[in-house]
Amino acid sequence: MANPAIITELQPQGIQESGQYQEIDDLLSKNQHYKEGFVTTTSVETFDKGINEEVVRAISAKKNEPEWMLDFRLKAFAHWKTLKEPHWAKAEYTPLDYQDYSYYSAPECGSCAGQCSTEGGTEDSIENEIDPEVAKAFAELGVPIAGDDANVAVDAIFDSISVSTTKREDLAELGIIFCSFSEAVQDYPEMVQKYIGTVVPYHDNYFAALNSAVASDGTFVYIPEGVHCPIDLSTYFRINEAKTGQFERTILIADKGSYVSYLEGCSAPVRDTYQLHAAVVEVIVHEDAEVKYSTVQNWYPGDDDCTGGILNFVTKRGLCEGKNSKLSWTQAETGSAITWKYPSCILKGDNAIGEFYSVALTNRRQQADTGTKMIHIGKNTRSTIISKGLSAGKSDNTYRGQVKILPSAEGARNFTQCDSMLIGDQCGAHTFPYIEVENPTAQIEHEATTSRIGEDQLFYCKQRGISEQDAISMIVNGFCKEVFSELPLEFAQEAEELLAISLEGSVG
Amino acid sequence: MQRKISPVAQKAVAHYIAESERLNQACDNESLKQIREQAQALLKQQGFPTQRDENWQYTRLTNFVQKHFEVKPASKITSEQLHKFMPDFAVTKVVFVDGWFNESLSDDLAALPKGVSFESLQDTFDIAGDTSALFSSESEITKEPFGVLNSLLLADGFYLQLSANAHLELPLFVLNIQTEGQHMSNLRNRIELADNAELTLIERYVTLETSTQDNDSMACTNVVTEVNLAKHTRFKQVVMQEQDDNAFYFNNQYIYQDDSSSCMSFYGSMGSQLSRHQNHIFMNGEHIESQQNSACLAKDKQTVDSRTDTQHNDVWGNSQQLHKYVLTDHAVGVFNGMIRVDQKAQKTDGQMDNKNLLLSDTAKMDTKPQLEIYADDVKCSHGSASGQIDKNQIFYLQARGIRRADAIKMITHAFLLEPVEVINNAAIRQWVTARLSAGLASVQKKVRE
Repeated sequence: MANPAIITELQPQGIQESGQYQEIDDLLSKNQHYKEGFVTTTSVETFDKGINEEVVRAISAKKNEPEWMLDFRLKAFAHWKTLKEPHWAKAEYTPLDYQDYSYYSAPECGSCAGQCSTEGGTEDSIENEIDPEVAKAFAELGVPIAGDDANVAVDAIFDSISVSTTKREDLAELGIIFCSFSEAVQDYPEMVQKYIGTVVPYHDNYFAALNSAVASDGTFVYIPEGVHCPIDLSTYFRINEAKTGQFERTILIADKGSYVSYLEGCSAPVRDTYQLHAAVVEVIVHEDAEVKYSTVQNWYPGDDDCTGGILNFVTKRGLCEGKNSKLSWTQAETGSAITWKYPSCILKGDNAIGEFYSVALTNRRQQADTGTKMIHIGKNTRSTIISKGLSAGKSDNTYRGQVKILPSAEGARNFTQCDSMLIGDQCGAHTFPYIEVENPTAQIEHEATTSRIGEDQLFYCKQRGISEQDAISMIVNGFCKEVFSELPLEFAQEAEELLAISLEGSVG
Repeated sequence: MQRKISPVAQKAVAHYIAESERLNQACDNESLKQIREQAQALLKQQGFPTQRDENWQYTRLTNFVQKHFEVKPASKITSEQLHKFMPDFAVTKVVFVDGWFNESLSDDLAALPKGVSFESLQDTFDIAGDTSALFSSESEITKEPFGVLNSLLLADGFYLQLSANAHLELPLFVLNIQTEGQHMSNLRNRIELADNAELTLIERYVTLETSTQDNDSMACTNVVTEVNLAKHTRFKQVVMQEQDDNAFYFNNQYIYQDDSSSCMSFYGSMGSQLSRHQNHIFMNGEHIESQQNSACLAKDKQTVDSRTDTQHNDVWGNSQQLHKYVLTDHAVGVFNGMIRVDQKAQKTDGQMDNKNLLLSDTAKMDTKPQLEIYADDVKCSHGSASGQIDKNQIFYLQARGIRRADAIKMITHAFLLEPVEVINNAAIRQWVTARLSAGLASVQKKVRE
């Protein structure tokens, strides 16, 4: 038996703590520092608000979808209508009015009126067709949609459609399919049909059903047998229109012995109403394959009074189907008014490995309920969960995770560590782990700690001439290091910067 | 909110409401009647929890709902029959038979020291006019389904009061015996300690004769205990649940602590097909100490469920917990612990550990150690580990000439008995150790066979 308890020692500190937070509060009340919060004005085609069968059919027609896809949508829609909006997460919000959202919005580009992505043209022609305003928006966000960055291929999604996918030809030479979901439906229907809904079925949960019904766009990735993808693949999501929902669907398949590192980034303009983002991600990992899935989530978090912001209700799940397969989720969560996200691994193949590294930061009135699920089915499956939660301002940060060892999972191992850090005395940090063990050969360890930045740590740094803000920033970065070291280099840098910006005022 | 209740559960609901109405007809205490009626309405509305309820996900009530336990009068037993249940050290003995206080079998309670008053709840209801003060935490109790059931059938239990500085020389030993099958022993206890009082309480739940697999012998015990601890009080409690393997056991304890009080509660569980022990601790003052430990042993198809809910509501609170489970055969172990730290409760130190040993391929452990923290200057952590015996540990002992079977026995013993160490009264500790060792020996004999 292992000893799971580790305590982060905290020194008792002086009485003048109100003074300590005064400065932080003052700065918090200042600006948002959300630099991605600009709005792009361009001619768009947006469906009227509301959802019904006609809308589902219209979305499907807009995308020229084959019959089976429409059936899938309609089945999901019929099921969705029977479900109730779940409210079990530790987040408070008024029930959403689903009729008050528009379910399709796309920038119109003169020549082909929004159909460019479905036509599956070549890279050049797509580039030519990109609305200059949209291109400007992505340029401002630092997303290389023109394919000028050597190390990464990008699929850029603007509201409901994918506007550009770079480096497709280079990748195609290796047999890698990297395209938008709508194109995949047209070009590789048998493959999409084979995998869609296998990991996250349309009846899985409320938001998965909604997504299946009105799925806008997303990315489709297939890595063929034995191919080590030489560059990082990446998708950038941008919600622009007010009162629209984004419902992207991403499918990633890694065939035998392949490897891919996939990145995801997102942002949205500052709006004063809640915007809905309900994505579904399905990852299938075959024998000996490895997938690294990294997310830097930076949706608009809403303002100090809790108005506006993105509701980020995401279903992400990976199936480690073959032997020795490996799936690693890494996420840096800094945005969204409410996050509700549990990237999961189903470890079906023997010796499969699941990993989950997460840094979740909440500030102001953000509410995050995030974590993972590790379902051990195969023999000698291993999983590691490292979760770092930081709460500041008046936010609530919750880790909710499940580790389930089924009777067949002989020799399974799990190690879970959830550390929370509280910055200020108005916020909350919570840990809700669910551990279910049905095989005695399994070894499960779980540990959690809650702490805050120690007075003595701060004192130590200040004594050496480091300002308090810098010291806090250093300590926070050290706290998150285990997770950031899992992110690809550029992303790690971005995540660190994001953390600094999000905490600006409160720490650093 | 009206819930959908299955036909089987509806029958059970109707049965218990009829039992409650029968009790009410024979009762002329208005406040008691009112409490029962309130509970009737609640039960009608809620029914019994199912697996869809978050807190009952792992604890199945299917078997319980199919049985309709009645509240029957107590049967007669002699003091000889009790003998084997008594500990080997001096105690003040209180006996409840089938949930009813038995004065003749208990020690003379008039001889209790000054400042200590012990009454059966039934007497209290009969004598006192307005007893509504006894139900001060009713709203909290009825949040639990078995709290509702307890109020519904509320009839007897004990009411123990210690005035300021009072102190019981001997531990108070409360023996609860089930003798009747198909019977519901429904107990409601209330303990009040005034400033600086001290009490050591031992509760033991047993079945008179261990039955065969006969359905008729199946009985149920449902306890609710409220403990109010005033300033500087010291409360120590040991609960041993050793009912026969067919029985059901539910216990909800509500402990309210004031400044500088200290509470130690130990729970040892070995019997019952389904047992669920819940501690609700409200640390409503400064510098409170609270310790909750449990040692649970389950075999065959037993389900053993132990829960704690510790609420730190003021500064400088200290709560420690250690829960250990040993499971064999098809046993299911459930642990659910919550430490909630209010925004006001700075300087809290909370530690919760849960460790589980699975001795068979088919045993199952579900655990949920939770933290909910709203204060920043706290030290809180929880740890949980489940697994089988470390092969290296067995090897180490074998290398020293200890046979494998003995090595496993030694390691299991040492594992399960760790939580017992918080009991600082040597006699009680040895007695609890002996009880658990005996339980472990019977389990291991089976494993070896």
